[in-house]
Amino acid sequence: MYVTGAIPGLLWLRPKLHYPFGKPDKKGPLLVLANHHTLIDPILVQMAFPFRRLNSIATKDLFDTPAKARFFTWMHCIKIDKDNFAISSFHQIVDRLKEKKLVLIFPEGGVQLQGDNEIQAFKSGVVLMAHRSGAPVIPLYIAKKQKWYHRQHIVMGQAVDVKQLLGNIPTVDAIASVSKVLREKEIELRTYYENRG
Amino acid sequence: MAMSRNEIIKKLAEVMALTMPDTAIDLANLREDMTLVGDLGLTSVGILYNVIAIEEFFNIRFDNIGFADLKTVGEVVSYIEKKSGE
Repeated sequence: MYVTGAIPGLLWLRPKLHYPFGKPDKKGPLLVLANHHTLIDPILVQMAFPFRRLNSIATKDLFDTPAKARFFTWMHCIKIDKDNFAISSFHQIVDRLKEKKLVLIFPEGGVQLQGDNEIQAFKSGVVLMAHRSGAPVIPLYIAKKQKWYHRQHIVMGQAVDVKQLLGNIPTVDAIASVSKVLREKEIELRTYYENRG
Repeated sequence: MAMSRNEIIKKLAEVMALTMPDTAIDLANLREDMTLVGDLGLTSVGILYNVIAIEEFFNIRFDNIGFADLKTVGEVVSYIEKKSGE
């Protein structure tokens, strides 16, 4: 049985998708990187990919009871421990991408509930995930709604081929610099949204 | 035949020379008591990348182990030794 946030999302949030640099190919393996400022962001991302199943990253706290563990596993979430990141979690993410699935990651490392619209530094591990799997990276900007009845705007960038940027054997410094490039792509999307007519 | 700890350290130095070609650390003198973060200056992505390179180089897989369990070169060597023997 397929359970997605697409149908309630479409009815309630009336999403408006923007493609300032053209529409990317939404098929095949995809590593989607999005900003994260509300707890419903995975549902919002689902609306941008209504015909794909999301594989999201979830902290181990969400798996702390058998019922929650069953639910989040059923929702195809990948458990990670932020305090002691397991190498096996990395392999799980790469394996899902190699299986041509869509994996959603919030590369700022957590939900930014407070503060302004600032996009924090990206965790460089996402670059390694894209490099190891060969999956294209799609940056996504989820706009903050000013009023509850406003439409939900989502801005999607073009796919980035990390393997092409880094080559076969990248250095640690090169990996860190590509994570900055990906963050800049996200900022470009935010700038587009803020300056649109 | 299983590798000795010294042989593993030498191979580790080779791996790190590939992943961190611009490092100021003298990899020829890599020691077991060196810490990954403090002495080798590895960031979290640096540790992750080196672990992946080690997996390929030694043909092993780091299962059921997290970053917090790998603090020194000696701990990495012990893990490689254990996994190579399986």
